[in-house]
Amino acid sequence: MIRIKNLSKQFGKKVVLNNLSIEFERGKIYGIIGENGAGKTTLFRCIAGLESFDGEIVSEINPLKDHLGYLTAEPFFFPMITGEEYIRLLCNARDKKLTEIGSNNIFDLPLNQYVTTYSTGMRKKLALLAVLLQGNDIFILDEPFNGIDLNGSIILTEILHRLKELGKTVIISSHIFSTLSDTCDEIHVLRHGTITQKVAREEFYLLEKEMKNSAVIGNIERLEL
Amino acid sequence: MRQYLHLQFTMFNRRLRDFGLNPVVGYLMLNVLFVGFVKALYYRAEGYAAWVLIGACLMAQLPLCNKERSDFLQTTFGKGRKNKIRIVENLIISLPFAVALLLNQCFIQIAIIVILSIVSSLATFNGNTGIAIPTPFSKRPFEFSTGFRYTFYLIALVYVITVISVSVNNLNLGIATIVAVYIIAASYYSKPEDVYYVWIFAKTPCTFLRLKVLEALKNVSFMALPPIALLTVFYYTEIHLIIIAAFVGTIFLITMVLAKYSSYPDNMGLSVVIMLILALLFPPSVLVAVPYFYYRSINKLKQFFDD
Repeated sequence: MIRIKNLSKQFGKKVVLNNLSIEFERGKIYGIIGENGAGKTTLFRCIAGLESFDGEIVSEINPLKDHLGYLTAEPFFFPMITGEEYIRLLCNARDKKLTEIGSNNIFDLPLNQYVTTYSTGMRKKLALLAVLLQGNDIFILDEPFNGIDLNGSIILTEILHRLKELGKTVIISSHIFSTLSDTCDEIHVLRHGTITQKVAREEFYLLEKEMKNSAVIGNIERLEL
Repeated sequence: MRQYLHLQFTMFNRRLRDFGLNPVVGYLMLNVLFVGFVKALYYRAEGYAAWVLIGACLMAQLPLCNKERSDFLQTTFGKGRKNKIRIVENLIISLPFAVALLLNQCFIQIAIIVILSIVSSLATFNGNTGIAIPTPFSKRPFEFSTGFRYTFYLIALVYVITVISVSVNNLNLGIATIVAVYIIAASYYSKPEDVYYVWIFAKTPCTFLRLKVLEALKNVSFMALPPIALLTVFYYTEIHLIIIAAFVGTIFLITMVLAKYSSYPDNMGLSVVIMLILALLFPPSVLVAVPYFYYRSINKLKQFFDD
């Protein structure tokens, strides 16, 4: 379990996270939604320990970062690194020994080619595959469905269900509501740097309706099409 | 085009400032270094110095031939203006080399450098091919596996020079190739990696640094083995000189690894670079540099690890 209490973070005068409190339990999938710039990535970076913050983040697994698989929204790749080397790098970093990767290559990626030759979706798949092969207990997946094709999305959804069955904790952000409603147990709405709504699975449809209304009504008219 | 070139000038000035230099001082230092390089070149190898200058000029122009950059210029300015921009860029880079050649009365080489600058400005280099260059370091990425791919031709050249040094019976040249291998390896640690690639390690700062240093030493030993072995076979009586060269190279590489993380996640500043140059020119200075960089690295890395 991860317990976040009164988490605050600001960059200069800009408050990004404001007294945010939330709990993530084992064996559950959590969705975090919010507008662009709402603070989702900053929240993830704080949990990962990549940002300093005020407040408290407590985990039953310590040190949290050593058991955390973090898929960033835009994974960084070195030039002239192959897909296989990228996976080896991430697994070596966690002392996870890999002899042969071919059988684990569920997305059929050309692992012997430079990552720079990959498409956006292939890069995302590679980064995801590496994070999965690390054997983590907790996963933070920032926009995992972005750029991934239909086949990949189906596989990813299945993977998320499998991780849940294995008792792993998964936290996902996505701008595609259906991907969250298909996978999550709870969705948390991040607005103005704090969690404003916690929605259980059976109420996802209400949340979707509410979001559509607030996004569309009055806004399209402003375009004066 | 004027606006584009002015922007390039502004961006270069920013780089100098990021490096901790006032641009005026930066340009002055670059001039001094270039003059020193040319003087040393003509002093050591007058016979082929002009050709080395042509080669160095082309090497300096090579990064501008990058395909992505070329595509960007073409889509932004159109083909005609892109070609003009590229020709002007290459000629600006070739200017100091041409002046050096002029001062040494190498008029034919000036013509060659101008022609090559114009021709190479029309070329694009696509480093983004699907075929990955095989490396012996793929099992333990990333510094040596990616670095090797950038410098394999230099390593090959160094090996060839080692063979030449034996054939012309010049041990000093051979020893210089050993040091060159270590300097090439050290260059793999010249830039900081994305923080994600440090964060992923389930280590303490101390064990992380130890791992990085041990990996570097293991891999560089493999890379330096051919020249060391060849020179040992042919100059067995002078083995102490070969060992000293390898030892100095090793110490320099360790210093470089620690220096990189002592500034992490930022680039190395001017003071760090000066200490590194000092470590290479005056090896005993590592007695101060290594502990200094080590403690700074530990402090810098603490933010990414649970110690």
